[in-house]
Amino acid sequence: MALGAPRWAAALPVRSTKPVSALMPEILPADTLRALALAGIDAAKQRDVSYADIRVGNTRELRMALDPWGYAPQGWLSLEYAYGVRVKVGGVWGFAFGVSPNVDAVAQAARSAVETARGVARLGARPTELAPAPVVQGAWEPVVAVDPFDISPDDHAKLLGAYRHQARRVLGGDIEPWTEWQRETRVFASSDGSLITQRPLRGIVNMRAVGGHLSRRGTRLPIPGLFSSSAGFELLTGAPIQERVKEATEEAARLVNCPVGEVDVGRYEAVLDGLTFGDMISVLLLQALEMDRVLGYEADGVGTSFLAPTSEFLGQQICDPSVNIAAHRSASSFGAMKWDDEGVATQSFPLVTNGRVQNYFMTRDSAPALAEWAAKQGTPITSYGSAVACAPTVSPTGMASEVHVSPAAQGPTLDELVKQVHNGVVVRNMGRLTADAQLSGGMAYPAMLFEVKKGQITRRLLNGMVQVGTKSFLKSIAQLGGGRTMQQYLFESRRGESFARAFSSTYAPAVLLKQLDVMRLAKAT
Amino acid sequence: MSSNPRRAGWTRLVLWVGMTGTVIATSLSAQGPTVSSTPAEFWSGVDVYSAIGAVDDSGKVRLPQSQIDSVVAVRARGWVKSLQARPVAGLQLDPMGQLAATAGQDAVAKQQFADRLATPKLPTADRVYTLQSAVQAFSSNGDDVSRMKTACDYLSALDALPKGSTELLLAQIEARLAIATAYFLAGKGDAALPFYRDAFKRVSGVEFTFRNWNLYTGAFIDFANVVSSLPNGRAEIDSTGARLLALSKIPPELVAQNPDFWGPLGQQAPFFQGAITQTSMLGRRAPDIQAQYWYNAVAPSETSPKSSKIRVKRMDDGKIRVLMIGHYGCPGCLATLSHVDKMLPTLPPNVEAWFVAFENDMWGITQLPADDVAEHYRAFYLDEKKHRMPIALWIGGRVPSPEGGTTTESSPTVDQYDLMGFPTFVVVDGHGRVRSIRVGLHEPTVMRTVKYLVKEASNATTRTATASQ
Repeated sequence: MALGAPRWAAALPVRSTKPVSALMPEILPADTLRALALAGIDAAKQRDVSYADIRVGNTRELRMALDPWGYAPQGWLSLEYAYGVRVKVGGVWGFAFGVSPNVDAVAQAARSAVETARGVARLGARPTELAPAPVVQGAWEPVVAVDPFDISPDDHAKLLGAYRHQARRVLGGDIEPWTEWQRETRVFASSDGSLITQRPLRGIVNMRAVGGHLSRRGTRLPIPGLFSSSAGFELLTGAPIQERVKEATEEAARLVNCPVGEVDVGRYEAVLDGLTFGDMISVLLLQALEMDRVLGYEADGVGTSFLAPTSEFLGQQICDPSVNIAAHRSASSFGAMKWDDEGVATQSFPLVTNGRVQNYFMTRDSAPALAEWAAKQGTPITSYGSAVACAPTVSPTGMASEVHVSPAAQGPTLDELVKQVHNGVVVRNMGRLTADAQLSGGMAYPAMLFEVKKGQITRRLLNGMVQVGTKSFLKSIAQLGGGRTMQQYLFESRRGESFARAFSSTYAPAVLLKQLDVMRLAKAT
Repeated sequence: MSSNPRRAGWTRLVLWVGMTGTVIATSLSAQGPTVSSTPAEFWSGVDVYSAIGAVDDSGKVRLPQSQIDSVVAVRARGWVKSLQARPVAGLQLDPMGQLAATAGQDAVAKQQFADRLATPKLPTADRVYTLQSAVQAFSSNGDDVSRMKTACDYLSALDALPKGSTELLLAQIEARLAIATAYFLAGKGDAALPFYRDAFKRVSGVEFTFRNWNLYTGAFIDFANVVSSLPNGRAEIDSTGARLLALSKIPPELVAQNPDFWGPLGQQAPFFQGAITQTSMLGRRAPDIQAQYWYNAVAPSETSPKSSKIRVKRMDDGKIRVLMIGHYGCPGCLATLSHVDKMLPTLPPNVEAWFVAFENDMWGITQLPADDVAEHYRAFYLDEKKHRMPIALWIGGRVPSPEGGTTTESSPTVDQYDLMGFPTFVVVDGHGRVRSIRVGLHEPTVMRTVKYLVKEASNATTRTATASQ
């Protein structure tokens, strides 16, 4: 085996006309990753485990940006190799990870995981059973026309420069040009006999058109049609997207010129754009639907959930019947995989149907907790393939990859929603919502908060803060916007020790809320 | 295309970024797969090469600035050809025109701009953008009389548009600065000056929020370089600088109207103040270099009245000089010296690059006789580091301090410059006047100034010869 390669070579600014793949070959070939995975499983099996699985990953990452003022490209390349072994001994889990690409190190990690499980068992941990899953052997990678790693950093920069050119046609306009591409070869193997090789691709295209770029009050809007996904580079190219860049910049510039005023503290009718609604759904609801939070496994980690116990929420109305939310992991969706990080085939499944909770994000370990509900529904006990190990060094957790909040059929546009507001606010591109550990509520400081009087935007409100209780927020949903208001919110969280970044994508329409609490942060002096 | 004036305003900033980056085996002739499909993407590619430069086929040698234009033109011709297979329309006509001009296909370029301008109901802002793009596309070379005339024709068309919009005012300024910069780079200061002056006059008409100080600051420094050779140049630098500085400060009424008004806009005045400081010595007589030790050079024969050991080198002997002023205790100076060495072979015949070093009588923690200290420095710079540039070394001797002890005598050369930091790079023309000064080495700026001064000197010689005939 071609072992002994460095774990990573990070963060060199890169400019080149050669393909990224030529500058950054994969650290280890897939065959080697598979051999290491099997070695880990063999080592675990020799220690009398009831179950073991391993994820071995080899990740390449390219980030491209332009310097803040001009067109000089700034690029970063990074490589990472790691593995994580999970074992079950006497019904108790143990986990260990490593970064040394050799058989001895992987075997040692497996033995270490076994010792951990035995140690935890002595403390009286609750043994769990796994939801059944068929043995799988196979390979998968998304079909893309142009792999972003097959083109040069300079070509990446050209594209970003074209966006900037179009944005800068607009007075005071600009764009925050930034793309991040992650290509991983991930091997999964289990003691059941599964052996899967997948090459997921993630394109993080989190760009914003900027109005008034020199002002602290600059406005930032997403570019319609420019989404983070598992699709190829080709989706970013072409004249139509550049025209949308200009249009989005023009709208951002228009919003900058809106008259300004101070927030009056109060409870208002509110319209949220798709980005803001997606933000709130991601942070407050989707995280609360993570079964590991619900079961308290993450109580000392990322937190717990207000949607616990599950018996009190499954099938119960938590929001307006017009709300339907489903999880996806297929095709070009963000985080697409054919099998999840436990070797379970991914499938779309409902989370909220007609305002009622239908499912949680689960793993094979946590899915049996919904056995009674599954029996009632006549569905199998399954995780639906929602287990995610955001890096091999992290144990799998049931969490969102891509979620769609369905728009209303022939639903209103953002402007039409605003017209329904007598005395309220509009929130656009709110920015990250901060929630408490139980996700029972959160707050945010929206940079783009607008006053609405009699269906018209009258002023931009400064120093505003939005505060929400999750349950009241969900019950406050009055009307969803139509398909044209759909926007993508990309949620980034951190998992594990040492932490790894986890991304999920939420598509959501604009929404009309019956009420939203708006506070004043401080009076401007 | 580094000379394209449209980008001149930010070149000085982005090149710094570019120079800090690591170039990994780039080669214009060894292209990887490309997916660029629109003129705007290819035009942005021109920007990429202009901003970061290019290397030769080996991937190791950075091409001189003088070769980049022609390399990019070759590349642009290929891009134009690939784009002509499909119709170009809408927003893409502008970058297509710019790209065609870069490729040297003027007729194609003019047609793209004409097509765009003929678009029915084209908004005024878009019309302004197209005309400004056309001016910039044709003003890449101040020596090309025909193209510069075309650029001026487009400028006239721009000026003929109905007045009133901020977009138009901005475009009129930026187009003028594009033309001025082209002339500046061609060493035609006389031709550049009216455009600089006209552009700066118009800045006050632009709403504060939209003033482009990144561009104006760079242009002001170039302008100062040009006028520093005129009899009343120093006065014009000062008055223009003061006027622009006032315009870079946030107006009180704007702050009163909106107390939250700060951020990048508040940084404009300090940014422009930097340009004023930088240009404060411009046009003035460069102080003589005074030093006791001269390496890689013959010591001047003139001695200082103060001591026969101190030799004096005058700066008005017809040679253009790049002076790096610094000292051993300055890590940035030591790191920069190798870059100065690398510049030496690229300098035109009548240009010299000097290290003007100033030290005291200490080597490490030991006070030594001046000759012994100087020998340590000589061994370090010449034997160990093998630097090849001429070095003038000042070793300050012991003098009484005001407290009754002793201190070392400061360098009279450095004292006269009143420098802000080290290393400072000063460019002096053949008449001994300071024509450029800045802290830190920014090689493109130094080379740009050198190129201008060489051409200026050459033009002056030509004028003199013509007048005498």
